[in-house]
Amino acid sequence: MKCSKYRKQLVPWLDGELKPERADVLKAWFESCAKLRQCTLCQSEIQAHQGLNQALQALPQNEFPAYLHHRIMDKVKSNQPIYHKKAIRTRWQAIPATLAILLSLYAGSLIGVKTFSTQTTTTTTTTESTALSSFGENGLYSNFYETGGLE
Amino acid sequence: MKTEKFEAFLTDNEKRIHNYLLRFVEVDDDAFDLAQNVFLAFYERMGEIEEKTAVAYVYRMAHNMALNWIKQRKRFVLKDPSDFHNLADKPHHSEDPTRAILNKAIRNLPVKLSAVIHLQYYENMPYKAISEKLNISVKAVESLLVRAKKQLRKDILKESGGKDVFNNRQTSSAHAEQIERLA
Repeated sequence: MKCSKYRKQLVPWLDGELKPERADVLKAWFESCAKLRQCTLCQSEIQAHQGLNQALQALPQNEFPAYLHHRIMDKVKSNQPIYHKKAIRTRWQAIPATLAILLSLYAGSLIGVKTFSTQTTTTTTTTESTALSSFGENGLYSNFYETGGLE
Repeated sequence: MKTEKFEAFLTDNEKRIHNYLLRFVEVDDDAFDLAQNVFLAFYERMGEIEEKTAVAYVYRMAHNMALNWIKQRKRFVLKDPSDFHNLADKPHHSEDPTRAILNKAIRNLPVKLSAVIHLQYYENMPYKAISEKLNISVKAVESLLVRAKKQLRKDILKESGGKDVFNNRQTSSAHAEQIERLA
């Protein structure tokens, strides 16, 4: 039971991340554990972790070539003006678009005013015809027959 | 993060990311191409990235791009394998079968775990430095490393059929079971 408690700290211990006094406690425990209790599991765990650490550290470390560093920097620098130009183009495009919207609004309002004024004329005509009824003209047909139509 | 800091960031992290990508693609030229794409994509998003989390972010980008690259490569067979019989061998990092198993196990780790393993064992960084690089606590680094190593050992045992390849001895099935239980 106690072995498992110590084994939990195996990784930081092997990485040298424990405080010296705690590391000494663990070292003493694992030594005594092997000698006194014949505990094979702790020893094999330690060996396995050490083996894995060595294998991980032995993986090759390749250098990053200088030409690639420069190529990335060149691409980044050459991309900068493109982004800038794009932004400017977008701004210039906004001006004619706004003008077109304003013009269409203006034209729409002109058409609206014209339509509205026509309706007013019609109303006036109706008023005139209503005024005529006071002279006995109730409708178009009556006026037509009375004035000698189709005789 | 300001775009003016890109060159310094690139200098700090180019080797790190290139070596991280090598665990996935195993061929230098592919790793170079991917590293270039990772840094260019990082540059485009620099305005949205906080400086504190930039290293973790670039690791995640590299991880995702490498996985995408592997997925895309699986879709195409560009040449008949017999075409390559007369070609000289290119340097290949996974000639050693144990190394290939280890690389595969690392590839299967989630990005958080593989990034921590990478910083600790390839660059020999102390926990505190890793915590600062990835903007996490020291306790979290310790916990991630324990989890990562458990996962690695489990995968390695599975791949090598119960043989603890880094312990230089055949593990008995009972012992392998015991290790798996612990992992």
